[in-house]
Amino acid sequence: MRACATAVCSDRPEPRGGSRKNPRFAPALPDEQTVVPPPPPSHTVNLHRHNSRPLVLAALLVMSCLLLVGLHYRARQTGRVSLPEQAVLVLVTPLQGALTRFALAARERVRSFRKMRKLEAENRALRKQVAQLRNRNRRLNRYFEENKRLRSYLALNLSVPTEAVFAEVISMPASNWFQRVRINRGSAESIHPKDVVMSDAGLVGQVVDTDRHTATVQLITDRESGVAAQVIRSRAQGVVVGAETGCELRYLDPDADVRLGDQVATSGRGDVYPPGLIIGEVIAVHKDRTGTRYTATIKPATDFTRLDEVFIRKGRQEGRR
Amino acid sequence: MRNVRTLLAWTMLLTAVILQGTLAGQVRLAGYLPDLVLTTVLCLGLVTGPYYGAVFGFSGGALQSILVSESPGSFMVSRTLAALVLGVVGVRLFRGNWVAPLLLLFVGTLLAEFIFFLMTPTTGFRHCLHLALAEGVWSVLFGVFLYPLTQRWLIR
Repeated sequence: MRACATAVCSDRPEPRGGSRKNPRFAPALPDEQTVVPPPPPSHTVNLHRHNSRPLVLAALLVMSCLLLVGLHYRARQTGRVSLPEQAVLVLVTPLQGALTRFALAARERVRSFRKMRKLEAENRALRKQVAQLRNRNRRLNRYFEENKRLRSYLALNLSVPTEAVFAEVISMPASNWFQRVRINRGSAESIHPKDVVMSDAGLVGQVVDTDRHTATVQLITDRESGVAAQVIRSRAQGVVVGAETGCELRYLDPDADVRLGDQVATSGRGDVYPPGLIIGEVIAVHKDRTGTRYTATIKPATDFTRLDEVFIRKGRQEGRR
Repeated sequence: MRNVRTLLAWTMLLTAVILQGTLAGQVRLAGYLPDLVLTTVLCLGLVTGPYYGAVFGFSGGALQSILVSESPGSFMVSRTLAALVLGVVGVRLFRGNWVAPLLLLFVGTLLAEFIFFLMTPTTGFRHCLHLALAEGVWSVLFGVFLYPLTQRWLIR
């Protein structure tokens, strides 16, 4: 190896077919200065290049996250939605309403097509049931009037909420973690958090927050929901919570009398749900994990897969004096 | 063209958010809904890389939390991290490979829901596992169509 005074010299061997002394016959050697490495693909990140862009992005995301979370929980304290949420809902709500109506209509069409053969028989059975329910309703109205009269004799306060606001469901549950729907009535229609929401079949849930024209309803199948309930037949007390199978009536006493087919209704304990609202029917009874109490699986009276219209009860039933 | 691709990506995400609260609520697998927002941000992360994947994951999580009106932090963090991880892995994928992206969508879904469970443990681990597996299957089913479209629209 000969000594080299500059960086240009190299210890490359003599090329074949020629030499540096006779460059005409020397095969062309690549000039190091003209070799250009291929550019990285456009969608990749060049990890070898030191820059602060990822750090800046991470800092921005963390700050934005903290800000949005803070605004959300601050607004939640008053039962409202935060300003960024309102901005998104204003854009998204009209589209959601239209799409939900389309989806429900399409689903009903498909179901009707499948059930064509059974529809006639179902129609006849339902007409008969309607007639029976009308008779029963007349009898119950008589009992109600009698009850009202007797209570007034005993000087008991009876205030039954008669006002109801009807609403359309514009958004179905958007996550498997939470069972929440959105309705098209809000604070402008005097809807407040903790207002009870019902369907024609039974209890649906409660309002958790409101916008000016929409509200979020927590369904009774939500795992964070809890409804003080009792079995109508035996008056066994428990709490209905959301579960993987729909709803469960938990914290039943070890000697509670609960059977398959029993109807479950709200017991009126707690400050949200008045008594007597139908929740569902017992379809299974089993011991809980501790083995000391019973848990009943409840099939909700409301079909939440076909929920399109609900009504919100205004006012609360006052207690006894 | 770059602005058009950016606009397409955001349109995909917004469409997923709108469909999540409407049409997605009509289909169930073993009782669980698909999570179109999660599938979309994972596809975007795979295709656009970790940087933009994190941005899309963050935005998708924020928008989904608005639909649900609960746990915004958990949604944002879980979706951001999952899209970021898939973005880091996705840049090493050979474009013609069809199996690896679907597998990554499945794993990314499990990762996102596991992170969500750690941050918001409202249910037992068993429910979390069932939920994550069902959503993972949904992600693969939708990913069969969504990933090639994302790749085609967003990569030159």
